[in-house]
Amino acid sequence: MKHYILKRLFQLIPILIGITLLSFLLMHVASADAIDVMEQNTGGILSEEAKEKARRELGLDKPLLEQYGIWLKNILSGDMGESYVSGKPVFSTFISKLPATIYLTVASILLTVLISVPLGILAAVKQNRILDYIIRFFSFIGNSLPNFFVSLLLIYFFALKLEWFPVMGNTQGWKSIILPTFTLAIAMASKYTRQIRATVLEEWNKDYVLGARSRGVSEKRILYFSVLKASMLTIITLLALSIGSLLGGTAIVESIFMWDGVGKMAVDAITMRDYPVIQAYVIWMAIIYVIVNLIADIIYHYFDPRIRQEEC
Amino acid sequence: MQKQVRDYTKLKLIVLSIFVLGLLVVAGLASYLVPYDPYVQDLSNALQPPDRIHILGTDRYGRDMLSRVIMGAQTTIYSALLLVVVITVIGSMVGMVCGYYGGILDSVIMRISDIFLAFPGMVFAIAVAGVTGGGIMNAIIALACISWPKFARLSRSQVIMTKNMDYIAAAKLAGSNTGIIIVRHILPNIAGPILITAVLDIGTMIMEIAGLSFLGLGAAPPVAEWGSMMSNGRSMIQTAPWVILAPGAAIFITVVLFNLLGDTVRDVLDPKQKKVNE
Repeated sequence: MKHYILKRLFQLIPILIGITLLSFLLMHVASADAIDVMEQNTGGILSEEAKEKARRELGLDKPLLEQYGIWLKNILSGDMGESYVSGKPVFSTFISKLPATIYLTVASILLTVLISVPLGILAAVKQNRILDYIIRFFSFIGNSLPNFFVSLLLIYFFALKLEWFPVMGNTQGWKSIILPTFTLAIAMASKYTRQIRATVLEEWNKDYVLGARSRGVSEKRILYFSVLKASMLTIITLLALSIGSLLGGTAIVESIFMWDGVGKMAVDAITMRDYPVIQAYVIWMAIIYVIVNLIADIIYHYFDPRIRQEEC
Repeated sequence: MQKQVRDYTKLKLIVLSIFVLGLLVVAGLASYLVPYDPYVQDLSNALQPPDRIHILGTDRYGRDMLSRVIMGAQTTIYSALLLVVVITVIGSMVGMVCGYYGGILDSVIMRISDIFLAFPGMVFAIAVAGVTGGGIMNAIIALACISWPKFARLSRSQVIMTKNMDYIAAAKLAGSNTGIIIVRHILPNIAGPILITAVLDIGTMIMEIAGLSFLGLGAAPPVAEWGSMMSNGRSMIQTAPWVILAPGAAIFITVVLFNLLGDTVRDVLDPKQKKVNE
């Protein structure tokens, strides 16, 4: 196990270098005109000398690889530059907005589990019967709705017509998280209901189930003690993997509901062409994503007795 | 019984193909089919609810919503199709070459695809679209960057499975060159899974392109595009919900059609997979 974790951590290094290099190059292309953006944002007309000075301060006159080195060193010490717009340090802004996004993500995952696990199991148990068809129908519908449409529909019916929940913001306690959470959970739950159904069915058709059945073990007992136990591992891994992609997928929903997280921060930054903020968002979301996926992988290895045996 | 099921699936494929083709024709001929000019403003007629003259109502500039939805079909659907074709062709070609030759080239390209896969999809698309400054082409490029590795990995694993088969060895002995082996002998055998993935991807790509446009990173107004039309209508959701419902329903119906088509193509080409799912 220890060997496996070390191996995976080692594999992480080239990926992290890749992520940072790619983000650096992306922003390098963009910040060629960063000085012009600053000029626009300050509203004044800068002289050529002032522009040169600004370029020197930003290190834009040095060779590319050296710029990357300096920039990487700064990032590792938590210095990602200042926002072109607010002038505040980018890293601390990012950190201050991250909890809101994590809060939304965790709530959505919990709701997804609450919806998709029972429905997926139910659909598998009632395979090819009316309930199965109904569940599959709704999961198909949920899979075909873009989340910005879902959020606008929810806003229209539950915030404007019924006035149960606020239209936007994250100031009204638990009430304000309901609609964004449902928006994110509807799409995810639709996807996972199908996958959980398939996982349970696959397990259900294995030889050991037939064996248990022929020994006279009741269907319920087989389901709860064998099939679900074996399926849970796959389900937990799927969900852990989705945390990462969800963290990145909140941008649209955050900006619709004016949820003050990192996704909205990034979308706002793009409108203002605030490159350091976009850069911080891309790098940190990618790093979080990679790490969460790594943890999911390790958990899977730790709990799967088949794989564990191979390791030993 | 088995035959009946297969016939039913084939019939479903034909019916769905007709619907999708119809949609593509409508989208392709949009500029001839629209009842009104989708770009001409008529402020005296702004935000009219649906009636017999404007079946889907008008937007805040008095433009006919039906005409804009039809026009938007062209932008949204053809952008998504272009995107899927690009990532399928590039991804599969890269994957096939990697899988066939292996070695250093394979490791290097696979590590590069690892890096693209390390970004949560939308995050990278938002970054690229943000840096390049929006526009529908830039949105397509952004989504292509993060989507090709999927096809590269798929075709690579398929090639690795196929390339050690006896008939490939026979083709080699018969003196076929590598190009002919890849195109004539390997490609037909791995095309199925790639095609299934590609068709199933169209719906997702429609939603992602519309999503980027919704954020203002795809098609820019006044171009009629479903996502940006919905974004423009956001502030009028209470007084004029049809401005959002019309393009929203259009996206939904289109995605449903393509997803159904994808599922059916899978059932026809890969009956094994169907058994697992049903």
